[in-house]
Amino acid sequence: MITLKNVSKSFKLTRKLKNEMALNTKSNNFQAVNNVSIQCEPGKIFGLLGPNGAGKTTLLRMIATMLKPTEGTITVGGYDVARNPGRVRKILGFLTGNTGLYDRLTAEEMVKYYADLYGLDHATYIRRRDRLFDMLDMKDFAGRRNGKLSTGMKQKVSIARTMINNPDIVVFDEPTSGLDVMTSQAIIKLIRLCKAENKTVIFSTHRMGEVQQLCDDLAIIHKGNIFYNGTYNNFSENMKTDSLEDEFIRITGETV
Amino acid sequence: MRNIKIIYLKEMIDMIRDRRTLFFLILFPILFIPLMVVGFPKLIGSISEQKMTEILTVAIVGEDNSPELTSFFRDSENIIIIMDVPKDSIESSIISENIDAAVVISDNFENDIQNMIPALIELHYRSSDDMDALQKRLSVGLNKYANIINKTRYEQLSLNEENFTPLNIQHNNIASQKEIMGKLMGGWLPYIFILYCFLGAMYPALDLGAGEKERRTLETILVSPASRMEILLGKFGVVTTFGILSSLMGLMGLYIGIQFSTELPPTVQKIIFEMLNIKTIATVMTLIIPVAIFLGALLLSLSIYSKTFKEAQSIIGPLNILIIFPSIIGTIPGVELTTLTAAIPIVNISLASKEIVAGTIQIPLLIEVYLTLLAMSALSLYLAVRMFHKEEVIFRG
Repeated sequence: MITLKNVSKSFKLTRKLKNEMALNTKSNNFQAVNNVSIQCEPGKIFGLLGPNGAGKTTLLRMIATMLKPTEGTITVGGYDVARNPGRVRKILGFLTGNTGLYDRLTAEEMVKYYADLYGLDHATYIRRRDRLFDMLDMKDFAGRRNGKLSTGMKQKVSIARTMINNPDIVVFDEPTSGLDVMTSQAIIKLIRLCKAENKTVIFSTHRMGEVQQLCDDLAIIHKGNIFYNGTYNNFSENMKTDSLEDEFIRITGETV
Repeated sequence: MRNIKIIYLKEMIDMIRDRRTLFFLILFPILFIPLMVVGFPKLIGSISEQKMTEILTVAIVGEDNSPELTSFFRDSENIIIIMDVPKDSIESSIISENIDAAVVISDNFENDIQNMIPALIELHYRSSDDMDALQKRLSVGLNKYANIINKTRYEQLSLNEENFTPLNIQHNNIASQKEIMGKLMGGWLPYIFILYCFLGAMYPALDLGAGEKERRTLETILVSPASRMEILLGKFGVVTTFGILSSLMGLMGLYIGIQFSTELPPTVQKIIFEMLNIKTIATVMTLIIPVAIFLGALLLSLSIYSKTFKEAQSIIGPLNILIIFPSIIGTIPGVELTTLTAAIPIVNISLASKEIVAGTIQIPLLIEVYLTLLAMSALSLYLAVRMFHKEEVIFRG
């Protein structure tokens, strides 16, 4: 279970950053996430929908203990991310669409490295590795260095790395971004598998189609604020426009 | 501790598999230093020898004013004398490289010699180099000629040449050969190990800080169970290890270079090897370790601060000069290790190793050097830890 209560996050703005982001504000703070309260439950897929720069990544990074909330509390699997970040990371898997790999390690070494950091004993590691490598069809390239792998193969290695600790909570930050159809489908399959295994899944996307395909629960985020938070079914039943895209624009009050 | 070890071992494997790191770590010091020690003096020697023996074309103007001097030049080795160059075309002949130099003998030359007053000789040449072989060869030749005249004059005047050498100076330097060589070599040793420590630590620091950010692998390690402190210490350990290894390789390169140097006399070689004994190397090593810690933490914190590998290179590049310049101070004669210089980082290492190699180190000053280095290492490590815990640094850009 992931619970966010009144979570806000602001970043200090330097003059250089203001220029880079073309921000016309006198404030020295940038509010990336504003008073967000959501709950992700085990066995369900929670979708975080929003355009680029909406605050999705900041929110997920706070859940994954990479960033600290400025205000509010986040609990992951019962642990407070600010007080027990180490505990949270033990039960968490984190995957993005452009996750980097160590080019000079082989696929297997990469997975073993993370297994060691998670403190897996050898027998458990072998069992989980074999299962993941079978499932992802990785055996042929397990001994090849990551730098020599195709994008699809690399993403499979990333998946194996994310899942080697059999996490209860899995965070996907735009996991299909920039990937081809085949690789995207592998990720979609993985997200469904996580749900089937009763894991708590939160994933962010700006693709409406993925929300339709996967989500049980949905939050729409724009400029750091939540515009909708509820089940996907409730959202789709109460839509006042013909498509998800139009509904998103209507809810957030944006104009094209 | 377990996670630090896991991260350290993984980063070591990762770095060892990188060709650029291996080049800076092994090939560069092992090949470059011996090449410098063996090849450079050889090259200088051979160029200088070639310059001293190459055939010069020298115009003599006013040869009739001193047939003796003209014949002296004619008898000199590797000099071709030509006579038909008018005085007003000397400059153009030198510029067009028809002649290398010209000697103009003044009209009253023989008279002045007879009357024992300085006889005028003009030397014309083109040289922008004080050490120019051409000028040296002509001057040496003329001095020889002057000595012949002097000898004749002593005889003519029935004078004893020794009466004109009023002082007989005998030097008695009580410094041992080891001390003299130690101060000379000891100044260069730290230059080599600081330079190689910097070079050896630089690439791993760039790769493990900014490189990891750029490749987006930092995010994944940050969500692993390893704490930021463990991640940083694992990386810092690798950077420091490479700094130390590179320094040792630099010293090994120097050792190999001296071993194969044909320019160094065997007695000097023997003294150098006596100086580079286990005890001296072990003491110098105790200086390398804090230097590597200091540089490792400093380079890593700058790399972590940078958004990209390129930005890190542009920040760390100029630092090279700031580190290398103080390390050269040890090579300047007369600069000694004092309570003041022992407190200046890098300068103190340079001066302390000079004293260690020469066997003249004072223990209280050595302790001051260690304390200064420890303080600097602690400070730079603290800076790195702070950098690695700052969100705006880790996710900068």
